[in-house]
Amino acid sequence: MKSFTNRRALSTVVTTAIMLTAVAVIGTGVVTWSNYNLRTFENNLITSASNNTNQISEIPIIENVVFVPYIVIPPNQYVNTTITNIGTIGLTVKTITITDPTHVISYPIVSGNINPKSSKLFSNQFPYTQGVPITIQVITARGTIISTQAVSQ
Amino acid sequence: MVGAVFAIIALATTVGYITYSMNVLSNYNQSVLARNQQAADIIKESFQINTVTYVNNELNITIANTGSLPINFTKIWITDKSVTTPPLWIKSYTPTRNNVVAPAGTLKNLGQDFTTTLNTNNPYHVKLVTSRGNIKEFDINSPANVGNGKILMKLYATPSKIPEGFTSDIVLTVTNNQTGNAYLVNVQPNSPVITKQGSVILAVNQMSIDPAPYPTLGPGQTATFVWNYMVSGSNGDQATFNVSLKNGNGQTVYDTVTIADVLNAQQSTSSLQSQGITCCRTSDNVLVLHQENTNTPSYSNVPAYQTYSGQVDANGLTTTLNNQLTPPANSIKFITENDTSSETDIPPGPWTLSLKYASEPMPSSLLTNEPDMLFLFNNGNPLTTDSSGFPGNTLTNFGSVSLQSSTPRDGSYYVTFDGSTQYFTIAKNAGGGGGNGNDENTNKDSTSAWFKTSTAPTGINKYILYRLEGGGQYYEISMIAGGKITFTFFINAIPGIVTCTSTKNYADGNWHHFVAGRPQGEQCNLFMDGGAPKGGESITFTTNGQNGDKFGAGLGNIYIARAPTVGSYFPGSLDDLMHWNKTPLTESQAGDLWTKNHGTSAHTLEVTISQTDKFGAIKYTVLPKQTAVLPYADNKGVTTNWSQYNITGSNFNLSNATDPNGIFHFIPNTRMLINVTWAAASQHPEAVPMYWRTDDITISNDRYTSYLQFPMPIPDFPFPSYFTYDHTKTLTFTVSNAGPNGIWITYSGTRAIFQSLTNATGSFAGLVTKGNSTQIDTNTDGAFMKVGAKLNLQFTTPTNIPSINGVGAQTITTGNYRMYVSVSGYDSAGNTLNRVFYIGPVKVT
Repeated sequence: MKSFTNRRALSTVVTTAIMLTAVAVIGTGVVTWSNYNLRTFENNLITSASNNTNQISEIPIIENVVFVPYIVIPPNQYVNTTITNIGTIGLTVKTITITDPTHVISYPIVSGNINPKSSKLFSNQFPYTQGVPITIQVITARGTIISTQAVSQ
Repeated sequence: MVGAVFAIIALATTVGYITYSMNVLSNYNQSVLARNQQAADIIKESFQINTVTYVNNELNITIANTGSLPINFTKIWITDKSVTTPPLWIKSYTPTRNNVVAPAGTLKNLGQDFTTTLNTNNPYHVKLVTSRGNIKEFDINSPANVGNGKILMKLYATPSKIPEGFTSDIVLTVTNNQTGNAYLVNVQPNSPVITKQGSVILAVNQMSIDPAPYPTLGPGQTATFVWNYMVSGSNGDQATFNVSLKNGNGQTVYDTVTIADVLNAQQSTSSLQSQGITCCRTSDNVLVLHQENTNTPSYSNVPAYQTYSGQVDANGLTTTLNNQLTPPANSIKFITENDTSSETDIPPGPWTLSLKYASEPMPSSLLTNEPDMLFLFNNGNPLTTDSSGFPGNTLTNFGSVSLQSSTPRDGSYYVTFDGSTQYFTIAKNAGGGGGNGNDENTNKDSTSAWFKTSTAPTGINKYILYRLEGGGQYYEISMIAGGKITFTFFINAIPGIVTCTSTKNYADGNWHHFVAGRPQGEQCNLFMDGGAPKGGESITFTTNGQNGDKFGAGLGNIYIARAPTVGSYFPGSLDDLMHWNKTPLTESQAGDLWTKNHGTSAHTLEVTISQTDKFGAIKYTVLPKQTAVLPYADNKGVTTNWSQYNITGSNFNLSNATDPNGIFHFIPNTRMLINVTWAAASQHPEAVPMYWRTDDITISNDRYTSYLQFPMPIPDFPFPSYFTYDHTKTLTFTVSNAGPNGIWITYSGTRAIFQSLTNATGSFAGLVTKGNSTQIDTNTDGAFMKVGAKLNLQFTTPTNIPSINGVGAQTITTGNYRMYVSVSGYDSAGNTLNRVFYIGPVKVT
């Protein structure tokens, strides 16, 4: 004859509930993590797109260059650069670099804000040589780079 | 199930993110597109600068929009390039008006709202900035600050060779040749400066108004300015026109107009000359003084002479004017022809009476005793030129004695010796025998001169003024101690030395005159300052020597201002040195010689110009009596050596006070009378005579001799002339061939033309029919004219429809016309010949 003995075990419902709970917990965690990543990606995208859009919209031009032999008394020479913002958003001039065959000088600009449709004069001391062309490069805070050449006569 | 939910959530999130990203990218894309569009607009924006001028010393820029977008000028920079040291002159401003221009539109007056005035003489650099950031720059320069080569100027006289009395266009082109985008502003030329070269009658009259200036000349552009001038004078006269720019850089260009016969394109070089009715016209504002007196009224039984706008046609008349003349002989009159229909209107302006004349070197009392040696030392004459006309008076200059003009004696020049190295010698006339020249082999002679010195010799020293010696003889005029003048000579005969010495001191720095003479043989005269009757001295010394004593052979050359054996230099001035062989001047003649005849005030004339009626009675005074002082005209002993003098000046700038425009109206039946009088009362009592020449065709390159010139009549109607043509008689016109080739005259183009002065009668012409006795027609040319040959051309009676028989045509009517003769032909070198003779005003009867 077989004999039956009694053993203790989980029922199907309980295991299902445990499985559901586990899935829910894991799934929630995954979704939360995924959403977090997505938000991060969105922010990065928004920032990048905004910066690039602003940079595209930023339109500075070098309107005029004047060579000044000296101010009040010699001998220091100056290059006066007038920059005009013809774009629709404000810009900030960050650096002006002036070069000629023998000199390369970068000038950090402190107050370089230029509103739309406005101009600002930047005067920088530079030992230019009459008749020798110089290159003036302007870099904005957004990274826009414009340049021009001029020669004193 | 749960997995599906999460899957859905994940998918939805992903889709949402992707969608968002797409939107962001789309916005970015739009920004890029917008930026590209802006860049494209910057390229599409295009404009050009049409003109740049100054208005009220402010910029006035005209812009043409050549693009497809409106342009807004937001900034103008102006830099004064003449300021190179601080403080630099750099201005910028934002135009507030007139700063927007539509596509294909034009924007004017840009820059007029700039509040700072500009100096139009300075160079400026201008920069225009648009709202899109386009920049255009250019320079503005006035001609003064443009270097040579940056302005190209050329002057053309077209044509450069014209017949007398024709006009030429003087054309100036100015090109802006500056590099870069540089404009030239205020381009305006000065009126041409005219230099005349040729005869005294050369006249240049501007016939057009001055051309308008160019406010702006763009890069590479050319401005053109034109003047029209009439040039009249003699063949070969030249007028050179020099032109520069106002406020220019000093650049000048020039071209020359020459009066020459007009030849056709084939350039025949044969020259036809007229010897016909007249010998060509004069300018309509010139009245030539002629010697004929036909059809002229008389004044005190003395007929006036003709004057009209026709050149000289006679062998010349010499009128002598001197103090011995009494009225009416001392007055010479010229009058124009009367006419019943013509009117000549002369506007206000300068008049000139030009006289050709020569001066008699001697006063009247010495006319029959001209000096054999005469040195006047006048300006314009070589120092060594003798004016006596006798050969052999050769003066040699030692030490470079020169003519002086300061503090002259009579306005004329003189010579000054330094008293140490300078002197003259005058060659002794070879042959002797008392012939012409300075030969002393005579028993009578005279020497005179003016002198001046402020120092006198001392002791036994002397200053030689005039000395010759040789063979133991001498003849001397000198200054001795005390400033006295002594005349001494030695002929090596009884009584020996003959001397006349003055008593006064003449070394006072003033001019003094001496006449030293040998009345005969061994006698001497010395007249100082005109002699005693004139307040001077008369010294006479008579000896018991032979009256016929002469100097023998052996005398050497004459020394002036030094002794022949060196020394005794004369430190002073000398003028009008004269010597007479065989003529001792009397005290009276010495007084007559003591004058200021050989300088600037030799002759005094009175000139009056009047308007008369047809009979010659004076109606109105055009020029009230004006005194004209004429200088001595030295003919240097050559009777045909004439001088020309223009009587003009402020007193001859005339305007008719009775006319609102100052115009003198010589209406029909009125004439112009010119009266020239020898004013004896105004002359020096011993004034030398004057020889006045008129109407002399033999004087080369002078078709006027003496004439009156006045402002060109307006309209250009000349005074009626004395030329008449009886139309019932055959019209004959003579030409001669001056070479270099032989010529034939042809029927075609050879005509006699009568142009109406008033268009009331119409114009008429006649055809050539014969040349000498040879018929000229469509089948037959005139006979060959070799060089020097003459041809008498005959013409049909002038009609309005010129033909051989004149059938159906109107014959020329009586009246006043301008007559021309047109001659055509060809020469032996195959060249075509054309020549037009303008005869002048002619009365047809």
